[in-house]
Amino acid sequence: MFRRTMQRMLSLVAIVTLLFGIVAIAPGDASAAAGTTYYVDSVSGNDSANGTSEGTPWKTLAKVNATTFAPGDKILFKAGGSWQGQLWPKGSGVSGSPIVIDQYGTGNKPLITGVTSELQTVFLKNQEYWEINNLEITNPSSEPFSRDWKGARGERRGVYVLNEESGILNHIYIKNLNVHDVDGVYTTRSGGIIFDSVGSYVASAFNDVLIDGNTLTDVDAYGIYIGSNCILRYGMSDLWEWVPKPYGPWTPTTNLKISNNTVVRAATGGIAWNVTDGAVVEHNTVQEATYLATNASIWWAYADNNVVQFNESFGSHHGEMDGEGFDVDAGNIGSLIQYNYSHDNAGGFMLFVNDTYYTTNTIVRYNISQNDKNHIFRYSGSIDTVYNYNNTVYVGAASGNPVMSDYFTKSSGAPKNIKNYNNVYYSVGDRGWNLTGQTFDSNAYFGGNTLVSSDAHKITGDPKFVNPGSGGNGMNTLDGYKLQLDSPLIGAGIPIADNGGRDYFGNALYNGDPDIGAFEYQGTVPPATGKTPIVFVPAPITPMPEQPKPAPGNLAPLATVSTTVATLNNGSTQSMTDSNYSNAWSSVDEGVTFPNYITLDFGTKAVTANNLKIVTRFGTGQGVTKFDLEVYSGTTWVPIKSNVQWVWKYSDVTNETQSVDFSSTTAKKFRLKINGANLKWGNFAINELELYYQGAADQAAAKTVRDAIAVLPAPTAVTLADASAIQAARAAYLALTDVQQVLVGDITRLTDAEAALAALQQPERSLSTALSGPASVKVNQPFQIRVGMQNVKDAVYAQDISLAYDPQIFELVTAKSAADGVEIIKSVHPTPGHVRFLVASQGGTHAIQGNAQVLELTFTAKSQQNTPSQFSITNALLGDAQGRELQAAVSSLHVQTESGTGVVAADLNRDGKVSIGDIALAAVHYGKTSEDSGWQLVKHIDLNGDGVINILDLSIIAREMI
Amino acid sequence: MKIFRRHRMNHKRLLLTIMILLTTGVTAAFARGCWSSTDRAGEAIATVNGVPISMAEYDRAIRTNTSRIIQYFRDTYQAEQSEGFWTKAYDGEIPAEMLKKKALEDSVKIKVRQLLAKEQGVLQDVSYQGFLQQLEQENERRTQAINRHQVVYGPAQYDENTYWEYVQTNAALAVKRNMQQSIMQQGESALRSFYDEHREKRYRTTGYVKMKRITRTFLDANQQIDSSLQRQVRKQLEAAAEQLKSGSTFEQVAAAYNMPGTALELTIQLGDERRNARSAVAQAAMQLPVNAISAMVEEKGSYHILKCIERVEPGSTYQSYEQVKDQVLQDTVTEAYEFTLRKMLTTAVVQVNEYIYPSFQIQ
Repeated sequence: MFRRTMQRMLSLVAIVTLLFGIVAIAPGDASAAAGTTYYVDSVSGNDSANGTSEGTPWKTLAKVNATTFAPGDKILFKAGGSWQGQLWPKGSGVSGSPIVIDQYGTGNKPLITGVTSELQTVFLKNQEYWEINNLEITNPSSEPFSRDWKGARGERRGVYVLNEESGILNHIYIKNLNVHDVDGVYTTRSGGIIFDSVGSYVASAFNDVLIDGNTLTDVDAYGIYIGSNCILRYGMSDLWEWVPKPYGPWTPTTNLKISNNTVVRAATGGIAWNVTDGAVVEHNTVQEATYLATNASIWWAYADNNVVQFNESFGSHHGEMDGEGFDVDAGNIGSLIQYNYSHDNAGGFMLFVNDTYYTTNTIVRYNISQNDKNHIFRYSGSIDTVYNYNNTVYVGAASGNPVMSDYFTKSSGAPKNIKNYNNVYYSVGDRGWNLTGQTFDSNAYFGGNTLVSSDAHKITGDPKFVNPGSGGNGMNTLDGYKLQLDSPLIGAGIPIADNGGRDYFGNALYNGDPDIGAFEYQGTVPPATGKTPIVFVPAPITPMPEQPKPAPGNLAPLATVSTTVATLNNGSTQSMTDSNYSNAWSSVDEGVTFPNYITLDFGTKAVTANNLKIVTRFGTGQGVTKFDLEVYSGTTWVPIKSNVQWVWKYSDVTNETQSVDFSSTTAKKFRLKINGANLKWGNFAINELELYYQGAADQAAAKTVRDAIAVLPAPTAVTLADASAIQAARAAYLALTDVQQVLVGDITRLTDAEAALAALQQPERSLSTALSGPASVKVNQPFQIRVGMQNVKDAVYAQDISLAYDPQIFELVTAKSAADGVEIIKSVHPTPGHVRFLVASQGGTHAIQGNAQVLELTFTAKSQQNTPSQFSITNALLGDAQGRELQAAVSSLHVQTESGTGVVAADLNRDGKVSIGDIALAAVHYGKTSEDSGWQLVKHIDLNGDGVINILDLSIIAREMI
Repeated sequence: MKIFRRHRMNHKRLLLTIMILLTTGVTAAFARGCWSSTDRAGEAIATVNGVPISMAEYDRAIRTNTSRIIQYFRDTYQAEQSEGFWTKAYDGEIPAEMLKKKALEDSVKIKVRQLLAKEQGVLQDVSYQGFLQQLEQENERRTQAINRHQVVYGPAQYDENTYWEYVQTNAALAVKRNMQQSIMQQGESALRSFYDEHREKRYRTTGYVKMKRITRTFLDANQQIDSSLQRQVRKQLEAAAEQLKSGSTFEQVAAAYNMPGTALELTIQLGDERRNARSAVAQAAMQLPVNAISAMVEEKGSYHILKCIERVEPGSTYQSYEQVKDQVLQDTVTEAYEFTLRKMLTTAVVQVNEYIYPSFQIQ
């Protein structure tokens, strides 16, 4: 039929193809860098052709693999074509000009079938700025699936993006691929699309990764996996055997987005990511994961600030271990799981499991779980702070009688601080909760054993869903979880602060009081009643230690670095000034001669410097050993430091710093004339180049203070209003270091201003009371507190003094005047612990003036306290000869009470006295020691504290009696 | 793509007609499967119990299996992809024939699955046309929902392949749910006999190891490894090991060396493979005979000494029916589903289209 017709027209097809081809080449994006577009046609191509037009395409993968591509290049495979082997094009793009792989023409996606000899069908290694689109990729094997990671299949991958000791690699986009039949073994480095960072010596990760719109079917072991061996933080130390050692410091992949992918029948996990910060995983469908072995459908570990939303995770196969729709796994700090639909999973809805430093700060909200099985929620190990709120959980007959939650302790710890708010649990049959570690408030419970009776605001009536359990094939079926207008869930929830602003269905929050469940009813409701919102209280996060890096004031990053010797491989001169000691620049490792130059060009802005530092690792093998430092005068290069010679000490990853000072120089260009280096491996290298103007900080600090002094008024112009400026200048000066103070120079202007101010100020030393007494007193021993007046300018003849103290501790015994001719007219005790004295002088000669003691009060301490107790004058009014009343400043005194081994301790029978009854009590327990089982009850009788009740303790009591 | 204009002269008009014919022919030839399946939706390469397998469905099965056939012939015969690859005979095996046969088998299996779903009332329409209509509707719903800022879980737009898988999986789940209901209605005896029949292979214990342990951490207050503390702790546990050797009981030494609040006992579930595989403690436990004491184990910032107090080897006993009855129910349903499919497959009447099938060519 059509095929026979076509065969007869083969000769004309070529012409038509050409025509189509011309039309099909749309003008490219004008703003992209002018790269070259290469065409690859598995049928009509020819590797000897130039490949740069549809009429002259290349043919094989080998040809592509042998080419190093440049930024902006495109590699287009013909639709309908088929290749077998590995695709590994070389080269990297740059920011704004990635290298793009795509299809051309119309038809099925170009198919690349893997071969047994290559573990990955599409491979990028230590490359960046690549985009791979619209390919069909497989990697089949005739060997069977195995849980043995060394099994015969090997760690097979569809697409493998590897970063091996290359620091941060940027911009890898994988889009719209059809990946299927990838037959790998059971490891995390095996599956459909695998990203892998190996940073044993150079901390490595990716930045700006997009995995979008791909379909992955029948992939073993994982659908999509982001992995890394840079896991070390907070004591984390053990990972699976297949992850290369030694592990690197925790170095996250950033700006990762996994979206719009569908993963079908992954042998183990569907989508998983490790060691990331800020990953967004959304709009994915993972169905029938754990197809061949236990795992979880969507999970993440050692990852911070994760957002997992709008995913549908369903139909997982193996629930005997894990098998949940979502798994917050080991070592995650900060995860938000929202607006997902989980259903029919063999192992439940949510797993929280951890065997290392605590996984903290997880929020699970506005999700719908329908007919998940086995265990809806599982908490295991070191999990801290989980808020589950506004989720709708439907446990139908298809769930098969699961537990609502279970709980496990591991050696790393036990789950804690799990809070549940506003969830609705609708069950036709379940085995209830393990409530350990959880609190529930304002949830709805209907059916089965879901009820948590400790929930102070529980709703137990029929939730009145529109059609519960009806979620199925197609979006609108979840409308069954909307609420009827008379649902008891409406307005029955508790508000949660920062709730994301929308419910599962996109309705704004809240309408009146919050509703329970994932749906916020939008009809007319009573206004909100002002309930206090719940605020998420995160578990504390221990800050990570700072990585060593250049000091502040490093000028080198302001410059562009260039070298006259070529750079090794994929390196960059920028590594010398990226403030990261892990990234090194290296020269090529062959044919290095001297001299060669490393130039720092500061462009139009000159800088002033007086110190150069170079940081190198493995310095004994590759460090710079001889150089001159030069600056550009505008016309020639002028040496500013000659014949610098360095000897390196370290032959390992230690950040070794060498430093040279030179006279302060200002220039727009600096350069090192390298005359010698250790060339053990043929190359020399620099991890970081740093340029400083040392003393810059000190100069700046001194200048600030000098400026503050310079604006002070001249001595003759000083007024009281200048007091704060003068005091501030003095304070700032005192805060400087010795070195800085020297740099400030002469401060005569400050001292003159201070003297002028002092002369102006009338020290108004104010009228005040004073309390004096012992610093500590023993219980039951009387002691004196004296009340005095200070700075009484004009004589006073009467005082009204109020004193407060703790009546549980102190008891007032007597009060008398402390001054001759001054009498207490009246003392009042309005309440316990308060006493007020009215005191008067007997005649003019007995007036109080200047400083004087007025009252002597005798107290006893009734009991011993661990902290000092306070006496306070709460009010003091003085009357002078004219009858004017002056307010004196109040004062207070702290007194520490101590128990004596004195009276109270020996009063064993607590009858207020030490007598024969106490001796008898001690005698009864004579001979008991601290080894005895009842010691706790009698040890107070051991008055001398020597561990035995004997004659020595009896004689202490006797002494107190006499 | 309107390249040609009507005002051309007669002889060029002829050329024009030929070109247009060519274009249509070429387009149709290039496009299979997701492209112009509507053109050929009426044709069936085979029928199963009278229900057609459309060319589009068959094309999908062809494409899905192409890779494996290519790989098989390369692995077995070192066959390279070349002009005549598909039609060449390799020791009697012809790639095209093998592929067509496999694709037919797969298509029949899928159609049977769909027919079971239809029988159960889960799918109404098992035709490809029906599927395409459903896809269009679903994508339209999604577009509208996104415009209304409503939730869309999964991708914004489904492509044909992906939606096909989605529909098939959900249909299978729905069928299984129905089957589960009828199985549950039959009462427990059916489940119990499934358990008895299969406990040998499926319901043996995965085992566990119960231990007492001595654990000390060498992380500082900031949860960082302190290397001098690490040396200290190592020495402490070496001393503990000495004490154990010289006859002190494990409980005594543990009481002296464990950090306060450390639970003395620890259980490793041997079925917890994903986590045991990344745990030095679990791996040490797996090797430890009862009453034996381990060497010092380092894990995640702590040193451990373990003593095994109880072991249940994987497979050594059966889990009781009560313990596994959820799994038994799931397994019974899966078994019933697979059995029903197998039966339907063997009794299905498959009629292959005598004209299309033989002449179907692999490109």
